[in-house]
Amino acid sequence: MTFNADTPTVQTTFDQWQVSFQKNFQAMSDSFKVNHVALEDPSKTGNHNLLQMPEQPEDRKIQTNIGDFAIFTRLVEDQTDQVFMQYEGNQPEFQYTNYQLYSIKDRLDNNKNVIQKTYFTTLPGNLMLIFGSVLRKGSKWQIRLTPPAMKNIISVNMTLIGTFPVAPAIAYEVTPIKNTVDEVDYFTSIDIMFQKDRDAKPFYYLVMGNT
Amino acid sequence: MSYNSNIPQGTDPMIKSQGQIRANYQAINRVFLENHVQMNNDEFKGMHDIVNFRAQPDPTTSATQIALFTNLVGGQTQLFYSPSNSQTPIQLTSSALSTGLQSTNPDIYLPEQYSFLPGPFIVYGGKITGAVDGQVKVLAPTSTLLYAGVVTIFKTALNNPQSFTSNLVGSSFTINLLPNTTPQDIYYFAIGKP
Repeated sequence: MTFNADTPTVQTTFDQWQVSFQKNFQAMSDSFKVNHVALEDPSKTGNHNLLQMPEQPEDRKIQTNIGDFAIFTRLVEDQTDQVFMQYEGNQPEFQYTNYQLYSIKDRLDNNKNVIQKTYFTTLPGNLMLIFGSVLRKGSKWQIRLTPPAMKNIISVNMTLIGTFPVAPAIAYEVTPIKNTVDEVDYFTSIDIMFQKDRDAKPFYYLVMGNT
Repeated sequence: MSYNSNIPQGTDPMIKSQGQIRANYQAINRVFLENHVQMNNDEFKGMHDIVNFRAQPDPTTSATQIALFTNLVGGQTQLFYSPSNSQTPIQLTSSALSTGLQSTNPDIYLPEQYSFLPGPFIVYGGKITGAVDGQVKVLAPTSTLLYAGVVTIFKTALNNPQSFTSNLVGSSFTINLLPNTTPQDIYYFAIGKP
């Protein structure tokens, strides 16, 4: 049903108006039902059921006046549609959500023992956190970074797992390793070295990077 | 012409109502175009192209309702999530955001970056080159640090290097190194409450 904002015209009679009125009321009802509590629903009129946000063109500059705060979506290269935000006064927009979420399988050794657990999430500003635990010694102590999406390592943090009586100062020496995946350079793993006088142990890890 | 919810009156002649009714339709259409895909778009009508919020006091929510709204924090509009049953709202955004590149061609990333989590919390990460034992690292923007950890970056010349943190005061922490006579390159990760 098409909405016509230019109805009625002065020349028409009421029997003609009635049709155009009804079309407009129907069009308004149809549109308002999308994302909103229906106009016909006596409760919570004006509330939203959900927000569906078609992506905005790359060349559309979002306008935020003083006191405004805007949420919108854009298609991000190598990703899907993502949520962006912009503070008042046309401040620079920033990406709030990042990447696609999918499950990460445990890394196994040849005997099917779990040697690394991986989880990841994202932070506003195109940051990614990959975290989990490295549980057993494989060919070498290494954090595998999956999904391979970090173009830059900002920080690495680790702590040993278990009750081994360690001094508060545990030395972990890290060497990020960059590889080319799908023609883009990503960090795919980090080699870990322990102090020479300490046994290698399972550890929890957290890696912060740019995507 | 603004929207008039009191027309037409039963005694109004049609010649008067025509202009008023059309003005109302035009007002409805104009208002709906703000933030919404137009009503005549078959694919996306009723959806939102942008959502603009104006600052509001904490809203009331029922048992089956949540709310997103904005309010002023330190003079800056921030996004909040209000749980059901009018529970305490949670701040979702923060102005503490500095990520990405410091220069291009070639791409050089900022050595120290920060972002935020709902709460809000500020999440800091970075690399310090040539840190020395006892160095006090002050993070910006200001917060009260809840966690700070450091990790030594591999250097073949170092013999059993160790690094750890102490004295979390405000948004600063102290870097402690062993051996304490040799500078180290370290990564840090910290979380603070603004």
